[in-house]
Amino acid sequence: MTAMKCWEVFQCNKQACPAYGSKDLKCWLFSGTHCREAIQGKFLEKMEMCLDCEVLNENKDFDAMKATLNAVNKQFKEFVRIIGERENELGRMSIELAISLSEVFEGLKKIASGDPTVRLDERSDIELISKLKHFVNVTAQEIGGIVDQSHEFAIVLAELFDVLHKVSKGDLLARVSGRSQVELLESLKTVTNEMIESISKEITRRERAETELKKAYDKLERKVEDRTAELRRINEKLWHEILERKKAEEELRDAELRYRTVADFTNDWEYWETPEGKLRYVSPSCERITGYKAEQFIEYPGLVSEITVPEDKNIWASHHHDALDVLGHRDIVFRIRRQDGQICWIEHVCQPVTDNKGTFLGIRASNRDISMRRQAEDALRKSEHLLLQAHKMEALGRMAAGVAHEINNPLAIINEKAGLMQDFLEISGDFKQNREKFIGLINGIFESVKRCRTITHRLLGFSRRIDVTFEVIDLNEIIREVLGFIEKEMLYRNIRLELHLQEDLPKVFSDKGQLQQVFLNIVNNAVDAVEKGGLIEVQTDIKDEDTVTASIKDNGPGIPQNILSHIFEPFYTTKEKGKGTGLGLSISYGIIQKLGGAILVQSEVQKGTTFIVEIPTKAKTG
Amino acid sequence: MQANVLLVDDETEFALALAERLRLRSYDARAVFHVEDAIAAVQSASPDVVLLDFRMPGMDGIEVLKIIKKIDPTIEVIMLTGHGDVRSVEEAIRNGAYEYIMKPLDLGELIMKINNAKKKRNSIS
Ligand SMILES: Nc1ncnc2c1ncn2[C@@H]1O[C@H](COP(=O)(O)OP(=O)(O)O)[C@@H](O)[C@H]1O
Ligand SMILES: [Mg+2]
Repeated sequence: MTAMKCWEVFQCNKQACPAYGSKDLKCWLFSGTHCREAIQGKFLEKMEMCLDCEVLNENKDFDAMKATLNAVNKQFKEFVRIIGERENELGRMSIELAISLSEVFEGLKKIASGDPTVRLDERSDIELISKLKHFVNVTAQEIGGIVDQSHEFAIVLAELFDVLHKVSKGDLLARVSGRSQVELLESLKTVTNEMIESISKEITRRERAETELKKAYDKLERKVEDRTAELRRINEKLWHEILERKKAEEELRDAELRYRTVADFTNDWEYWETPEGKLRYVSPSCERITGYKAEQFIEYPGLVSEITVPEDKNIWASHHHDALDVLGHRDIVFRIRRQDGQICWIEHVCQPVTDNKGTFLGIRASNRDISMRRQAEDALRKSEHLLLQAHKMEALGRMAAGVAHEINNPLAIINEKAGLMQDFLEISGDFKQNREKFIGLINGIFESVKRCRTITHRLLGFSRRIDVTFEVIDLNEIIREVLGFIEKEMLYRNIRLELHLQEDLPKVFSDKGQLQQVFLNIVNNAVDAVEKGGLIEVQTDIKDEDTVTASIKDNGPGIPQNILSHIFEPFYTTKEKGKGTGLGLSISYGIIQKLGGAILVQSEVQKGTTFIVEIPTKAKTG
Repeated sequence: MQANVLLVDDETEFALALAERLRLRSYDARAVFHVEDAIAAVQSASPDVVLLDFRMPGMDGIEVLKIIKKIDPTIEVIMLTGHGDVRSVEEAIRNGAYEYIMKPLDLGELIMKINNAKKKRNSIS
């Protein structure tokens, strides 16, 4: 039997197939046949397919099948070997894989934590691993590069800022230096430098422009100044002319006014008496002042002296006589009795009148009614007097209290001693037995009387005069006298008194009573100012050859600035009602002024106050 | 029993003479001349009436009055004054003084005031 051929059965003409044309092969199951190409290489499926193969089934030949099976077996064994080998290889690979992966992770971790210095050994049997490692290395390198650049960035940026700062402060010569590896930085530097250059150029340009402008302005200003000065000059000239003209006009008006004054419109009673004693002119205002008409005076020039009050007739008479032969200006004050009987004060001023050749033309007189002024002056004098009186009352009241106390004490002693003597006589009834006691008591009474006498004498020595009367006096003595009045008060109030009286103090020619009053006022204020246990220092000194001083210093509360400026004002007081009148210092000031001296105050709050009185040694009336 | 009187005045002669006159009228009278002695006497002898001078060196009479009244409020104090300073008298009365009397004093008036003060004290204590 002829064996069936597969290429013939399946009409295959794939001549590259090992089964094609083969006569030896009893089966076409072995590998490499091109039969059913779809399952080529998949041995088991191929075998399954072959078992269904018509050709194989037609050609059932056991020897051939045995040979094929041998070949298949051989093939299997080869497979098993290969599989075993593969398994070993896989095991090895998985270990390397694990180690390498952990290496890669470590590397990545380091990179992630900012350390780009990591480098891994890239050699590996596993391609994936070497690729991974390479990737890690590349990443690390790139990151390292970035870090380095960022350092450079920081440094260069700092420099840029520094330079820009310098520029902003006006240093136009600052430039960024060096070269950078980073392109961006390099261009930044270039831009900065360019910018600075253009700024500095701009600034220089502007400065130059400004100088130009200033120059132009200065020039303009100078021109304006010149122009203003010129204008001022012109203006002044103009003013001058105007003033000249005005003066001329005024002089004209003045002359007119004078003329009119002499004529009619004066308030004063004017007249012109000729050398012959006739009245050439009498102004109409005489009627308002005297009640008589101008004509009456002209008719009877003797009327003027006739209406003069008897007490002032001689003033008038002697003056009238004088005026006739003394050339120059003279004035007197006298009273007249008006037609209505009222008394009127007249201030009379007269002047000889001459023509331009010097010929005596008579006397021009002006009589002014000064009754109102007189009244005001009188009122002022009266109120001044009242003021002084009020202060004297205050001082007196104060003194009276002190004096009463001082006199009442010795009086009380006299009273009790006399009373005791009376008691001895009336109660014990025996004079002889108490003789010694009586003598003691009587002596005590004499002592007390002596005490009283000192006080009354001191009082008498304390002047009561208000008018200024000068005499030669010892300032130290006055101070001692004044302090004598206040000593007791100081003792009771525990006030310490320190006296520094300059020896050989020049005597002063001044008013004793007034000076006493001044010192009493100032010392009284000091006593009021200090607390219990305070200190008052009184000192006299020679200031210069014409002046002596007395200073009264206390350690009281001092006088604040806002009060200090008022203390010499009359009625200014900070003391409670009934204690101060506010007159002491104002009166003292007036007195010292009148005596030609000065009062100075130095005061510091919480430290104390010093009053310094300067008195001229020789009388000068101020 | 006549009043126990303490006289406080820096005028020694005056205080001594007055004390003696009071003693002659059977009062238990004693004179001191300093504030400290006065305070000590008030504490030890507990007088019925104190005659106190307004003006004592070193301490104001009003202050002494306050001290005495603090030690024993039932002691009656009569103030002696050399001049009629109304304000200090008012202040003294406000601070518990019983009366005041002017120097030189009228003994009859003084004795009346002492007796009244003593009566007042007895009615209280
Ligand atoms: N030594 C002094 N220390 C403090 N203040 C004084 C002193 N002397 C005078 N003064 C102040 O000047 C004021 C006016 O004094 P003065 O004219 O004597 O009037 P008075 O004493 O009646 O108040 C006083 O009220 C007081 O405020
Ligand atoms: Mg005063």
